[in-house]
Amino acid sequence: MEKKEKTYVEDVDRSLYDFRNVDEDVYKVEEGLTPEIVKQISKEKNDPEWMTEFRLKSLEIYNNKPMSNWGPPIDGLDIDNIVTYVKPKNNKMSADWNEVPEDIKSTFEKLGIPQAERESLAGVGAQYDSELVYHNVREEVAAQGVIYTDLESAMHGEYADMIKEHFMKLITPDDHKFAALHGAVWSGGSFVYVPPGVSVEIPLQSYFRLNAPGAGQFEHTLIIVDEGADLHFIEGCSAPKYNVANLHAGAVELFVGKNAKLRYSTIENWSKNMYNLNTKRAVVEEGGTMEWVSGSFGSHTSYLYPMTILKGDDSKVEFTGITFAGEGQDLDTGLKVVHVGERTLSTVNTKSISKSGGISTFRSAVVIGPKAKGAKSAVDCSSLMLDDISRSDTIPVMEVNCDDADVGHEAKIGRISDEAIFYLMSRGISEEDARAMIVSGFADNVSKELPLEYAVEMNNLIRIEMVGSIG
Amino acid sequence: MDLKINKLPVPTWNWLKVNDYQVAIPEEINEASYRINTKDVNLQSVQSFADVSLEGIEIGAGNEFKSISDKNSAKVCAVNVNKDTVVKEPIRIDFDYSKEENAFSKFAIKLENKSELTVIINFKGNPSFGGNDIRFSVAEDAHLTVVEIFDFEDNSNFIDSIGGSLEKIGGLKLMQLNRGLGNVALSCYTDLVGDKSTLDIDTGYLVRGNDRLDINYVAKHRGVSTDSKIKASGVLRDNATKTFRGTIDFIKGAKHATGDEREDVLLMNEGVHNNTVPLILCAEEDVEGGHGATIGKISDEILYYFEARGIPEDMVNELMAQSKLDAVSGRIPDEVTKEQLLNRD
Repeated sequence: MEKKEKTYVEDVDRSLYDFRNVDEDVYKVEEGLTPEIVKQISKEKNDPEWMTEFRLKSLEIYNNKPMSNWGPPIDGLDIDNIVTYVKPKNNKMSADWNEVPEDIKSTFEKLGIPQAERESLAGVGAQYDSELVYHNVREEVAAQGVIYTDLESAMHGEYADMIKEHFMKLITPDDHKFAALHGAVWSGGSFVYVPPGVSVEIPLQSYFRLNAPGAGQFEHTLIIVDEGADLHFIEGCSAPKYNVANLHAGAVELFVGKNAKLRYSTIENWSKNMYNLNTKRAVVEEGGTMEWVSGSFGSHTSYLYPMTILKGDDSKVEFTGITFAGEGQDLDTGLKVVHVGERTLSTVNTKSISKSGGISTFRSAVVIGPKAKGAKSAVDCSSLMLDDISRSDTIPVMEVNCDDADVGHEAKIGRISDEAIFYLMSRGISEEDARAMIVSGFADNVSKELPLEYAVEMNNLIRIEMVGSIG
Repeated sequence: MDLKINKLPVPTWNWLKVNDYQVAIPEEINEASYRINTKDVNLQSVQSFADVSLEGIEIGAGNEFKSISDKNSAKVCAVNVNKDTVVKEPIRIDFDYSKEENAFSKFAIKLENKSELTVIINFKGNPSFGGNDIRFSVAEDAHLTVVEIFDFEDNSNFIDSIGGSLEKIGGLKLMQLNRGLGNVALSCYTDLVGDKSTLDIDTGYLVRGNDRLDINYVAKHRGVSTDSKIKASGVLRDNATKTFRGTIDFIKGAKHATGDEREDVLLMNEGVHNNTVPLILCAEEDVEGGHGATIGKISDEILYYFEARGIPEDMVNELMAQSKLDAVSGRIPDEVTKEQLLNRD
């Protein structure tokens, strides 16, 4: 039989993500975290003075903050063994794929990034370990005044003041230990600015690849969607599997202006030695809309709870998410929403699946502030257990401090019904396929929110995870 | 002394301040006096829960409270219902804290196979601190009903803790009605050990002024085909604060278990604070669990319906608030108590 050639969207398997480049021709700092290492990173980044001070202050906060007393264990993560900055030698961020070093280019080609850029994206950023290696935006999009560039060069250019005004103002180093770590050693990431009234018709995408074993990736994404503007931003991430712990402690800060709309989609597929301690936060002004679409498939351990602050009156957020925890994974995911403005609206729909000993925890907080009159919130979460060696927990909190609010929450947990399997098998479908079909159907609300090629990728990931799920 | 009670079995973000409830309790706590009325059950006063083999069980308020209870010198009132005995008339226990400063009470309730008992406890007065520790053991096919009515006056502080286990086809029905004033903490930890054992919690509350109500229910499903239902329904007024924690915990092996928890909260004034924390913990595939919550004011549709019939908004609010408590009162399986509650006001 003719072997089908792999493409990005049609045939995704684990090997697509689980390949590695030899970690030799790179510059890296020592393992661990000291003021000297932080200063070294700052020098390497050519930081302005305020940023160097910010990094050192963040390190101080990191050293004084305790580890969280909730959530999955992170004992396997020892920051003294993590290399916080790795960059390819002679790397220079480019807007031309031909100028990207050969092994890195080959990595992103295997991941289908250039193809995706040609076919369905308005712009692409590609980060390899600690540095952006490629950033490009379509001419017609740039002509609308849309800025899509790496954060570090933007910090020295025309938008320096805007970045200083917004950088780590939404996620501060005081938030938690790993936000402080991020503040100290952040590197890479994207800056997007969409001017008032501009609608970016097709998505922008940043892809993060961590190749180096025992390394951390700390990219910072800062997106400002100005009044009446509209953007869809896609984030993808992957890494090869190693026997040592890798760490991802990125930060995503999203500013959604008056009557603006931002959709932020993520298919997270880190390797299963990754500690994914990422922080994402959005603030939405009057009449603005924030939409999160989140698929969590990878990582050894995840703490991931995108937060939305509905600051402006009539602002709203929709969160659609799925988490698939397989063997050896402890994925603690969910969301936080704070209603500040009047008549604010939050709608949450999440699914989680646990299999082969995986642990999936849905954790949420919906907070209705005292002045959020007319606020409404509806949360719906469902969990599916595929065997009796896995675990699925649901930990929601609803804090309501205003009488004129309407908060609803529904959650269900259960298994695939034998009747459904029997029905499909009686129509000639194998048990394994029947189970995969039912799980794909369970995840349908998320996949239909994604662009087609990402929905296909997500369904393929589910199919891969489901292989061998019987017995 | 500060005590952390009503701990969430699995903690969440500390900034939400729902992981536990911190209360100050006095160093010296006396034995509470109460009136107990029963014709059909023999009561025994014992020194400690160890004397009736109930020292090792988990209780709703948690280990810090348990330690205080075990050190306290108050005697344990032990109730034992013999095998195959159905006690028709409820045991009635009345507390009046009007003349007591800091007081503690303990009850050990043991139901042998195929026995049945209803216990109805009324609390009133204004304890600066009051504590009550009820531990139970329900044997095979036995059924225990506990009804607690809290009618405290202003400035009261009270902790009520219940904990115990259910054997095969055993059942606990717990009804708690908080209709008074003061700061009250309620809790119940139920270990559904036996196959087909059942837990049914039905709670109603009104919290007003600057008062606080803190609730912690845990249903631990160990047996096959066990079932738990936790239902809370209440009203918050003025600047009142209420935290509801409900946990359904399916342990591996609890096949065919079902659990459901619901909370329905009516918010009546701007200054109210509500926390609803319904957890499901699941280590068994073959279960069905669900939780739901509705929190808010009376819907515009209901207001419109009543206003169209000449009933003003203020009166609709009062009617709806009263109806929430009356609905729980109406489900109390004792006509005497039901009559007292529904005709009192």
